[in-house]
Amino acid sequence: MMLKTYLTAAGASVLKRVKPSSSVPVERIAGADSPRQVSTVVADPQDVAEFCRVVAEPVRNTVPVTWLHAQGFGPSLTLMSAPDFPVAVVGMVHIANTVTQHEPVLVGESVTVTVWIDSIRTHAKGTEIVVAARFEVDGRLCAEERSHYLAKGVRVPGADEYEQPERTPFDPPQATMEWRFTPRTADAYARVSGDVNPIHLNGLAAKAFGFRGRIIHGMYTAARALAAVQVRDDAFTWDVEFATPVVLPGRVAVRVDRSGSTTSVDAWNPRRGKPHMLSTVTV
Amino acid sequence: MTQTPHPAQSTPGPVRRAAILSGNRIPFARAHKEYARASNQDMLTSALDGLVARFGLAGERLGEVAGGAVLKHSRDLNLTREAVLGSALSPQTPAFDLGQACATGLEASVTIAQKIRLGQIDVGVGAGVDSASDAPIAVSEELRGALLELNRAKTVPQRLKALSRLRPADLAPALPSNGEARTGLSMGEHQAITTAAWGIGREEQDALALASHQKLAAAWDRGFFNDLVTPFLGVQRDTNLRPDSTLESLAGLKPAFGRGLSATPTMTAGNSTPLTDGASTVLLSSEEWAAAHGMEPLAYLVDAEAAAVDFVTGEEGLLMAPAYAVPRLLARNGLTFADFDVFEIHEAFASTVLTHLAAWESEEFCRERLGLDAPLGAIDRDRLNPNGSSLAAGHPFAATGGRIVASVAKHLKETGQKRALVSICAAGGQGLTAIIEA
Repeated sequence: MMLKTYLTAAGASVLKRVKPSSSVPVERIAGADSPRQVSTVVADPQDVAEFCRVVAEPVRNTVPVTWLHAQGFGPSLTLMSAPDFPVAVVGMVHIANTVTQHEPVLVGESVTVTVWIDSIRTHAKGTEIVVAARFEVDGRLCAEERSHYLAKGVRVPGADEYEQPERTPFDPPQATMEWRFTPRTADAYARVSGDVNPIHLNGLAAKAFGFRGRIIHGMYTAARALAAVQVRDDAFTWDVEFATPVVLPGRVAVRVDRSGSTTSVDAWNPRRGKPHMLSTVTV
Repeated sequence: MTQTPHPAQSTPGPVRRAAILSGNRIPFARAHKEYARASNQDMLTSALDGLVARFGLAGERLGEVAGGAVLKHSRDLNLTREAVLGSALSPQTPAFDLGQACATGLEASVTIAQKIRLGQIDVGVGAGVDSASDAPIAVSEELRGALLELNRAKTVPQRLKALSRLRPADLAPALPSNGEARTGLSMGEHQAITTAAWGIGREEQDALALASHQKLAAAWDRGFFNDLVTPFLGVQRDTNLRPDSTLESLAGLKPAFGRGLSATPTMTAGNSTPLTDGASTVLLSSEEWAAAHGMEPLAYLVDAEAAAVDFVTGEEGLLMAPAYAVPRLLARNGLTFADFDVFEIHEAFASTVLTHLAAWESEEFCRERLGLDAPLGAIDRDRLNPNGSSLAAGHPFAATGGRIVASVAKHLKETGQKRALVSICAAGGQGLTAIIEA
C-alpha cells in the first residue's frame, strides 16, 4: 500500500522536477487551514509487539511513540505527494523530529491519527516542510508530533521566511554503547514501520540518490535511541536532530547521558567522528 | 471492625556456621584445546566426581547442589541436576541452577552456605562450569522469527508468507558474543574505558599479570593444588599458566582493547584473561556434619554482599560494582582492610583489580561515590591473590568463584591466617564479595 504511495510520489516528483507546481498559494497547503488526513488505526498488540522487537523496545501494554510515528508517516507521504504540493517528496531528507507524549496509548486502543502540513518555510539549503501529527484516543490527546523535512535546493514562492537555529555543535564524546546495523536491520524496520523508501532497501536506488549504499531509516536510529533511554514517565518530550545518514552495514557509536530531567542520546560514526543523530528526552 | 493482628514475629533459629570443607576442580584449559569436545555437563560431572572420590561421598545424598554456567545451551535447563545424576552422588541429591554471570560460582557457594547456616540443609556443593569451546550456536533473529512464524502458521499462504521473509544471509549462524546486552560493547572495551578514566598504566598491569603467573606456578610447584584439582582429559595443570613469562615478553604484546580511545591503549592479551574451559566445586557443610564425617573444616563462609552499578549511561564502569560492595560488607561486619590477611580479587583484567585498588585508595571516590569520610585505604600487595588468580589460571566464567573459594579456604588453613576477602566482578555491572574466616 505504501509502496504504491511511494510510486505515485516518485511519478509526481519527476513531473515536479520538470516544472515546479507553484500555482497554489502556500496557505492552502500548509498551516491552520490546510487539509487534514484523518485515519483511525487500532494498536494491534501483535503488530506493536513485532515493532517493539525490531527497535529494541520492551514488549508491554503501552505503545511506543515511535510506533505512532509510523502510523502518521503514510498519511504524511500522501499529503506531500499531492499534485498541488510544491516540492518533490522523493529525495527529501528527514532533518528533525519532535514528539510530545501527554499520556501513553495502550495496546488494543483505537488511535485517531490526524496529519497535516504545518508549515512550508525557507531553509538555508532549500525549503523546509514541517508535518504535524496528532494522536488521539477517545478524544484525549495522547501525543503530538512535528516532523521536519528538507527539500534541498528548492525555493518555493510564498514560503514562510524562517531562519533555522544553529545546528548543535558536536565533538565526539566517549561512547557508552555500540550499535551494529546491517541491511537486514533496514528490511526489518521497513516491514514493521511500512516505510519502504527504496533508499533504505535497494543499493542501486540509494546510489541514485547520492548515497554510498543503502542507508538505515533515520527513525530506526531514533527509535533505538528512545528505547535506550527507557523513559518511565507517562509524559515527556523527545527531540531528535538528524545529521549524516548511516550507510549499511555500519557501526554506530552511542552515548547515553542523564542529567536531571533530561537524557541525551547521541549517535555518531566512530571512525569519522561525524554525528548521525542527536537526541534528548525531557520528562 | 477488628484489626487483624500481625502474626507474632517468629523467633529465628540459631544461625549455624557454614564450613568450607574442600573443593575440587578440573585444571582450566584454554578454549578450543584439550576440552574442546567436552560439554559443560561433562566437565561439571567430572569435577563433582573428583570431589566425591576424594571424600568418599559415593552414594551419599547431599542436601543440595547449586551450580550454573554463563554460556548455556537452552537444552541445559537442569544442567546441575543432570551433572548430579551423572555423578557418583546419590540420585536423590537435589540440585538447582543459578546465574549471576561471572559471579555464578561464588553465588552458588554463598547460597549453599546460607542454607546451611539456616539449618535448611546440612551439606551441599556450590559449583560452576563454563565452556567457551562447546558454545551454543543460535540461528539468526531473522531465521528464528521466520521459523516461529512458520510454526504458528495454519494455512499454506501463511506458511509461504513466513518463509518469504528469509534471505540467504539469514542462514548464517549467530555465535555467542561477549558484548553487553544493553551496550553492544565487549567487556574488554568497557574495561578499557574504565582503565583510561583511572589512568591505570601498562607497566603496572603487566606486573600484576606476571605476579599472577609466578604465584600460581609456585602454588602448583609446591603441591598446593594436589587435593584441589583432579586431572581431566590428560590435562594436569592449568594450561594458560606461563611460568616463564617475563615483563619483557608481556611488554611486547600488542594492545587488544581500547584502540579506539583517545588514551594510549594498555590492555593486551597478556594482562586480560583468555577464553577458558573448566569446572569447579566447593563442598560446604555444618560443623556437625563435618564432625560426623571425620572432616576438618578449612574455613567458614561468613557473609556476602552484592552490588550493581549503572554502566548503561556510562555513570560508572561496567566492572566497578565490587568497589561498592566491599565497603558495605566491611561496614556490616565492623571490619576494615587491616582485619584481612588475604584479598582474593578476581583478575578479569589486570586493570580491573588495579582500578578497584585505586578506587579504595581515592579520597574523592570514597567520599563522593561511597559516601565515606575517609578512603578505605591501600591493600598490601603481598596479601593480594597469594596463589595467583584468573590472569594465570584462566577464567571459565562460572567456575572462577569455586576455584577462588576452595583455594583461599585452603590457604587460610595452610598459613594459619584468619580472614580473607573475596571479590568478583560480573557482567551486567554487578559484583559479589564475601568474607571467609578460619
